[in-house]
Amino acid sequence: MAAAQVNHMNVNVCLCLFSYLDPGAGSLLMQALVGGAAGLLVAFRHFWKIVRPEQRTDSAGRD
Amino acid sequence: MSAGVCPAPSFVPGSYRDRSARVFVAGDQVLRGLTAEAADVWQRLQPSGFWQQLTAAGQVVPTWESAAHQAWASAHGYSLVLQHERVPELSWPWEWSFSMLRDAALLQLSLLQRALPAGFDMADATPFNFQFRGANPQLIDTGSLRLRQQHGIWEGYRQFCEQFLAPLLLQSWKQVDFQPWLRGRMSGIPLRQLSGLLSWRDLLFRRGAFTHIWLHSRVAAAMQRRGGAEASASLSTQMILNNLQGLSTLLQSLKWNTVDSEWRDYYSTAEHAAAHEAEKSQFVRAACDRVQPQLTWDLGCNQGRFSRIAAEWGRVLALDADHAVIERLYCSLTAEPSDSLPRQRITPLVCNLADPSPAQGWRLSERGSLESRSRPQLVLCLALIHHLVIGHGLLLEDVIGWLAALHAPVVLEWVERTDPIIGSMLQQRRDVFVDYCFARLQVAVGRYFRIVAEQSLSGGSRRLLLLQPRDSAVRVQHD
Repeated sequence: MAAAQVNHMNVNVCLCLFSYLDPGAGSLLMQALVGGAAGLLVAFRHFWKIVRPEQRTDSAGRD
Repeated sequence: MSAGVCPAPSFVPGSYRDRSARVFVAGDQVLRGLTAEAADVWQRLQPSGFWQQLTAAGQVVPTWESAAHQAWASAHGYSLVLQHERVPELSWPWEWSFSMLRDAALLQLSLLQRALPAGFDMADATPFNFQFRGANPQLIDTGSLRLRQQHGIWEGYRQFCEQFLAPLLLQSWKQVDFQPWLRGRMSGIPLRQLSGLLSWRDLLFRRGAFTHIWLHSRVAAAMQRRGGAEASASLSTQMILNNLQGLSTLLQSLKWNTVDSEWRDYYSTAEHAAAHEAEKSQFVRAACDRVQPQLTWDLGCNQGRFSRIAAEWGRVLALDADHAVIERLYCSLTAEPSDSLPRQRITPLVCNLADPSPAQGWRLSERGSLESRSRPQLVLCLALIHHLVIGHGLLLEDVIGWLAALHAPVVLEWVERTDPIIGSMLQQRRDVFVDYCFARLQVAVGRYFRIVAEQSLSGGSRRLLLLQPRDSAVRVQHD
């Protein structure tokens, strides 16, 4: 990937040669927040899918 | 054009933002010049399974490398030329219905969801990257695909929220048509403005309102006030995929209640419309048979019954000013199998003929007007002219003159003043429409057209005319 790292005001900014769109201030923070929250949800759902069949199996086994 | 003559290429006015992959046209050919970096992406993209799947599914415009105009492209700094299959009819997001914009948005998300694991990314997230082929959305901006940086953010996130999500939320939550907003500001609805329209109920109970709109706009404003550059991006691909999945689920959960439309149930409530349907269908079918149109404009298409007839011969632009009826037509088409003829050939568009899409954007040439983009070979103008003259106050002769300027045969339904619909239209307004009479129609029609077929409908208050423009290259064949 043709990309260049430049130092500017002690902050690393990644410049992509194909970037022409301003992602907008705060886009990184927002995406981290939304991605993180959604990540937790996905993790919870994943956990739930793993746990739920066991619960069913257990209750079926007791009958 | 004579064989052997090579038309001079020129850049498409709307293709200027992405300097690395600009579109140019030469005659009927649609081409794209790629810089060395963009060409490298293309070379990697083409053999990838991800790209093959997109192409096989018809979700991306067919594209291939071309030797055409290589010298011209090289002189402009491009090392490779791609050719795209021409999209027959272009349309803009302010002409799409709710579900059309949503389907384009879902395709955008789905493309990115498949691109990221394959090592690709998309440079932007705008509805202008998509066009409808019939009622099927398709990515046309192949240049927006690029290689994924190991740790990058989704740069199109804010743009997606402003150009896709905000208009859809406005329609779904507030019952406000988004088309005038997008037509008024092509860059979309600023999140701060949509945020101002949200109630506490929206923020607390509606999925996505707090995060994607309210907080997004606040964070952006705060970061802008703070100034300086943001820290380098370090989002994992999985985090971006999570965001994409969340947005996709949000979009799929949106509903738009179309009950307010007065036209939506026109055929089920208007007796006259139902009674004449068979006669009109027969007349339209005969007209299509005589004209053999490859492209029909169905003006005031409503449920698209006559569009479906015209689709047996070629493509159809089904135009109606009522958002709800276009939404209903689009949903009925997408409910059909993807290879059904109507779905492949009919493109429904929200279009008020008294206020159609103008030329817009930079130098007024970025997004062309409706008439500059498309030329019909047959025009269906059924049960419409009285709405234009009496409903919108347009001059009868002007309307006929406009139809003549389309240079295509016209199927025109004339509604006499004795018809109940005219009576009900005049009940609530003063009858100043002295020009609305058949004698004046004959004079206006005679100026521009030749009447090649005429039929009175049962009941006697309506008649159908097949008009041949005197100066048109498209000819009505004689029986």
